Amino acid sequence: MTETEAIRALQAGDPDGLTFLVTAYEHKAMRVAFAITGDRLQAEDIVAEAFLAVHRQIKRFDSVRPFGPWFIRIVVNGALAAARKGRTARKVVALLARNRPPADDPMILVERNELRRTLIRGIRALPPQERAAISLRYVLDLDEKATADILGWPVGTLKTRLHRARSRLRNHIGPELSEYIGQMAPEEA
Amino acid sequence: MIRDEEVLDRVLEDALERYVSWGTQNSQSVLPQVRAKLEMAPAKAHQRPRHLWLLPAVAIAVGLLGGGAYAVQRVGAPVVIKFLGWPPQPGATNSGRKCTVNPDRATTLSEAQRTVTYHIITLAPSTTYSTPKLTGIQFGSGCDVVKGHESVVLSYLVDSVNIQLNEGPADNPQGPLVVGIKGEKLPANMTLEVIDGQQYAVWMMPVPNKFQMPAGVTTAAWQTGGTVVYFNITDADKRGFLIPVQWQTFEDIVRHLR
Repeated sequence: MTETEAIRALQAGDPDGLTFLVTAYEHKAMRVAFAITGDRLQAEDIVAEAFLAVHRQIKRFDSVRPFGPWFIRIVVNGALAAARKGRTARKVVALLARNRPPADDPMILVERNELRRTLIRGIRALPPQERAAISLRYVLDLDEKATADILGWPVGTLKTRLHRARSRLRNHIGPELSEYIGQMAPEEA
Repeated sequence: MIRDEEVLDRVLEDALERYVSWGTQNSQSVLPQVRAKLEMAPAKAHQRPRHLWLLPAVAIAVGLLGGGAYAVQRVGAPVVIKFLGWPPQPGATNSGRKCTVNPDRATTLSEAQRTVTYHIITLAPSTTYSTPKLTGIQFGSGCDVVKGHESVVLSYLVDSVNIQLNEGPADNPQGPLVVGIKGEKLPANMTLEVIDGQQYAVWMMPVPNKFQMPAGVTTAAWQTGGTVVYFNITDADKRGFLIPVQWQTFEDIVRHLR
């Protein structure tokens, strides 16, 4: 079965079409959802909800258009909504435990490379939209035009947000980055 | 010499890859979850008609109760939201929150009323706010709700708050006001409200947001007696954020439109 056949099958009410699409896209979707939310269980829920949305809306989907960007957009929107809610919840938790230092998540604790560890903390602290931009650009390796299309932003807005995100991360890891460059082998630098 | 930017890009890509791989390595396929939810869906669908059949009855009751009160003043149309999906259908008009009007030329109320075919709605004095001051009246174009038509823009100063009423002809004076919204559901900041039997599509900040933008109404759209009205606030704070009007003020204002 090809992707187009799967979409047509699903439009005709055949559940095999959905099975094909889940198999083809869930890994990619999970990576994006996790990169934005930082929570595996939440990412699974978001991806599942995205496939349910596909099931509901597939009859209106124009099968001439590529399915991937449309679907990833649904996932990103779900992840952004969850990340925004999570942010509010974290603020409340932080207020309740004002004097306690925030606990790192297990991933940060197992990461041994100091630079990477700092960088991951920085990524997690980015505003959700900037995290979404960085995730699509680096995790899915999309170019700026494709990223902007999925996020529904003008390319200029995407560039600004990517630039801001990089600046924040640069400030976050500043001294460690210089140290890292200093340690690089001369032929590498 | 390698640039810092390139190194940052490289370590960023590397860190994200490790982070995402670690985060998703034990994830389960969502297929069973999706199937289970789909199986549950028909059961839910069975329950829906029990509630849905009540809607026409409620609508009729609201019409009967509210109609008597406001029919004296004006005839209001319901608001119907048309979801345009994503990506929107080709040619679909998103008449969402933006209603940017490009004022073409200043006019007077009497000239504007002679020029247009619809009734221009104005703000009457009230005991709840100071006498509204009409600070400008212009013909304009570009408002999404009245796309393709020239609209009349009335600017008022009410209790030190600058508001704008952008008015245009209804596409279907006998029918509802159709507001096209991109996507499949109402945006979080949008709601449909009924005041004295008239339905309003309202864009509001329900609580102060993270930028300390206060709660209140920023935009509203409705249709009454063949006129589509778009209410906008125009005051912004030092940071450029619009200053919404309180719900009570909005209610007072719309109750005094004639």
